[in-house]
Amino acid sequence: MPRRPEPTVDELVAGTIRGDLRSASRLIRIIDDGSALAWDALKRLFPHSGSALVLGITGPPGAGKSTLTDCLIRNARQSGKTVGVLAVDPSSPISGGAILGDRIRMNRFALDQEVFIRSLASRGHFGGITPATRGAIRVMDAMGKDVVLVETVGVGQDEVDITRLAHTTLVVAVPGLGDEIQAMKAGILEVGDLFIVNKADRPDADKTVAYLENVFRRVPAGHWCPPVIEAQALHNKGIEDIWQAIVQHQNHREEAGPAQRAREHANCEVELRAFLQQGLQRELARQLDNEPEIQKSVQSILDGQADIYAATDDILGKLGLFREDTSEQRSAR
Amino acid sequence: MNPIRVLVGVLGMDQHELGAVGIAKMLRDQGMEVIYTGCFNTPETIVQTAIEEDADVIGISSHSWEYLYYTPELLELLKQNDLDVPVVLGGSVITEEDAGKMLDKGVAAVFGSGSVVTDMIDTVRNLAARAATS
Repeated sequence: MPRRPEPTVDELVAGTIRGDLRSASRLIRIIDDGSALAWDALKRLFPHSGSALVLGITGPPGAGKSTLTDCLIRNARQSGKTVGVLAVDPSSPISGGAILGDRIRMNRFALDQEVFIRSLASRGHFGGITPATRGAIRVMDAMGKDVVLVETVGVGQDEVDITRLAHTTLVVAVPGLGDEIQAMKAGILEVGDLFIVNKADRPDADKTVAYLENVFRRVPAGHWCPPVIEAQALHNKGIEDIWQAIVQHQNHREEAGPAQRAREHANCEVELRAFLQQGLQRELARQLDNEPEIQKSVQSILDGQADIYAATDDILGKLGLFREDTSEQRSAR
Repeated sequence: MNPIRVLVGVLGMDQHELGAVGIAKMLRDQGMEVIYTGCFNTPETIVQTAIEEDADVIGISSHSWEYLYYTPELLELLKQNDLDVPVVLGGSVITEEDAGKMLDKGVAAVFGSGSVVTDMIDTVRNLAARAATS
């Protein structure tokens, strides 16, 4: 069968802005595959984005993130909102492959044209989301989705990347995982905006709630105090409470008190620095690929004529990336 | 090398999921990203999912007679949607005669009982490569 010609990136960008699902889907693929074309496309989507509410859903494996996401889609649809979902599952560290199964829990929306569910594999990234997630959010935003739900891989301790992308981050916990909640203490417990105790019909749910509430008892004035909400996502219970808390958190964000502003500033700086580092790394890799000195140095090292430390300094110096004067380091000894 | 994305699912009321799970794991172990949709899919949900996930290949696992009806429907719907994603059909109940019928209707490959794993993997890989280059 002859295939239609591949759409150009221009066409994909224009299609996405029109709200065309196929353009948006292909654009996310280009972003996910790390194509250089993605960068320009994302810049061009910027003026058309910024209106979507981005919600992060994170928590340990099996806590009910996908089922809760399904409930949140339903509520959003009932209030007439269009929805994008990015569901992240882990890639195999051995083969690089992945089984992406989150969307099974959201099957009832499979034919809803206003719900766009996309599965992403972590592809070796360890922050709970993927490098493409930011771009994929922008695509869904630009195509006109009112709410974008980002479900992370099952996380434990410090996978807090999602909190830098989402306007509100929901941490899903379950009863009986006392130790796991302890483990979450240092990372996600500090940055989650809402805490959901899912499967609240299980014994010890009250203990989990009490434990979490205790953690947030001493939140300083002016800071957001994360509510702890009981839910049974499987039975659609507690979902209204969660939406109310999301609205309250959005109000808190809009008030933009000093604590909120400081947090957003810090998050943005971390992100920008990460992007700059990636850019530098790419540029450096390109320069090193074109650096004939490397092969010569390898041979010298192998021949015992040079040592790897001096060779590194020499090459970096040649690229103009290394200060010759190392007296400071020397005297520090 | 960017991962191949394969949609794997079971159509209709067929509840025999083990084959689909086995295939999904096999493809995962070959470095592919498998969008696993489980049982109780319709041709409509498969087509919609293939679009949303930008799937390179659709794999249908079947262990009941239903594939005889649903697979042609799926092919027709793909055509209606102008979506050129190859469909691979697999399952122990597919007779040689019916396999021929399915291929005539436009299924890209059929794997019945006794199929060789490496053949299946190579087929998916080649179909995905064809999709990427042509």
